[in-house]
Amino acid sequence: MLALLAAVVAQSWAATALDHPAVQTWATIFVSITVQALPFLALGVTVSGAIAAFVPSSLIARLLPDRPLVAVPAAGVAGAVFPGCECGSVPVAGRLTANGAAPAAAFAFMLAAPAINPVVLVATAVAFPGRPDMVVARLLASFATAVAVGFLWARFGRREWLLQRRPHPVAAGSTRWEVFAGTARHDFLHAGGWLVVGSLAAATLQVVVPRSIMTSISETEWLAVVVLATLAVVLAICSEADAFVAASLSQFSLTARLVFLVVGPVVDIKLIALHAGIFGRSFAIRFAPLTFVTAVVSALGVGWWLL
Amino acid sequence: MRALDERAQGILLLAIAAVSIRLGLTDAALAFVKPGLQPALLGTGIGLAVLGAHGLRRAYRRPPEADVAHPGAHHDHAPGVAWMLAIPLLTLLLVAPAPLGSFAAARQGSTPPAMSPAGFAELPEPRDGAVDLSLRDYVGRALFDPATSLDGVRVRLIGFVTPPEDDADGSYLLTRFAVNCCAADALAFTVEVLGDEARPTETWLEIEGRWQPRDGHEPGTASAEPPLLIADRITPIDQPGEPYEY
Repeated sequence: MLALLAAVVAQSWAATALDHPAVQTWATIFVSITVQALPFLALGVTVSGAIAAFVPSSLIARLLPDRPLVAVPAAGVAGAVFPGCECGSVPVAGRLTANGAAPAAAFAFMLAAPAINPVVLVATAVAFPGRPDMVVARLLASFATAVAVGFLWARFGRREWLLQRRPHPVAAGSTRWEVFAGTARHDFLHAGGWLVVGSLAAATLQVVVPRSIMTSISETEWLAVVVLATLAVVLAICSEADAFVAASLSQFSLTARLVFLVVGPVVDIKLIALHAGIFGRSFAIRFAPLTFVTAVVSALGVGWWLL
Repeated sequence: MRALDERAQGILLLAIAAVSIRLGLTDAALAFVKPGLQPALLGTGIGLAVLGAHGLRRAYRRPPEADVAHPGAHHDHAPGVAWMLAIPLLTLLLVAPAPLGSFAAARQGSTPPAMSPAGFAELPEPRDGAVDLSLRDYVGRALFDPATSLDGVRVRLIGFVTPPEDDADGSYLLTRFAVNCCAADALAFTVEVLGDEARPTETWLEIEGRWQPRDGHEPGTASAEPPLLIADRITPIDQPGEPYEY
């Protein structure tokens, strides 16, 4: 109520500042990243609520066991059928680890889902007409990234880097519907809050760093790869739309653009905020560089092989 | 930030639900996302409204003595970061964001995005003597169509005025954004308009005219400069209900 009152009062004297085109552009981009993510987040928390309410922890532990050689690739493949973009898969992975899944497997699912589901692959095929090899390369490089990060986490990761969460954010003794609604509500507010933090950062970077400055650097191949990998982190575009932006960046080589498509869905500004919120800060500062390097290496490998 | 009790969670969820339903039903959403996302926003809003109402009902139905008997036992708190969700709501209220305009276009530069030099369908039938084309389609055909399908065709384009990067001759640029998912992935498509006097920036125009190839540009190849349009009928219009091409 107070905030609302303050907003109405502030509007009169701040109107001039808020009409500045940079502020307007920032606000449009910030609101659109948030709004476009809402349905995917809702889908994600519906799944996470259903996991908490209807899937017993013992079954999760059996399906995603602590045997990474089996569980990690299986979880990666399972990601292919989750038709969302990256904001939806993070709360699902958070719920899976809280309820007994091996973290390495949950991460493989979380990284694979936004990159290799059918919606994203079709979008990539539409954005690159006549280049089916681009779709295949994206599928392979993204899957390899998800599985490699899963294995690396299984080998070197430590439980204490992860924020410990209660398996059920609702009181004991509730009905299944109460558990479902309570978990979905909690996870939506939790992940949604961190999503806003990420969109704030992404919108600010989009306005402060003009795309034309970054995309004018395309002469040297290694520099182009660095630029497009960074751009993927900075722009924080939904994985269902990034192929169209990549297609327009034709001054860059196909391999450099593949790097853009493989890095974006696994690590960007808003994902780092979401990871920090849901899995903890000491997780995020290790996970972000790990996925970034793995994604770049695997995209370069697949790119040089296929493209 | 303080954690949210169930009542605060319910109110916040209902507020988000209201905005989401409104965006699902009205053109207000089209400044941010493509129309195809609106049914999903409507569904999300309804789902969140149910969750929020359920939370509120729980908050008010709980017998007060339960709190005394087991302090904290039944409280389902949400982390304080959830308050951040109020920021987009306040932004919508305070800034009332407009669709992306010339500022955002200038950030992208006027170098045309690359397109595939293939797959151009037959031009649509002319309406009142001119073919309606999206700016994206016009730029694609003007630069990348080896068969130069725009040659001699009278076209009708809609966009807003952006200033040229060097205002040596009295020309201006006509720009429109194409959006694939949301405004964060918008791509600016731009033509250079010849044969008109200067126009104020951000004015929406409907222009009928003809394509003229640029000297030295080989059709079917990328160009550093936007394609040309020789205007001969210019009508200022209101901002279209769909501000972007989707």
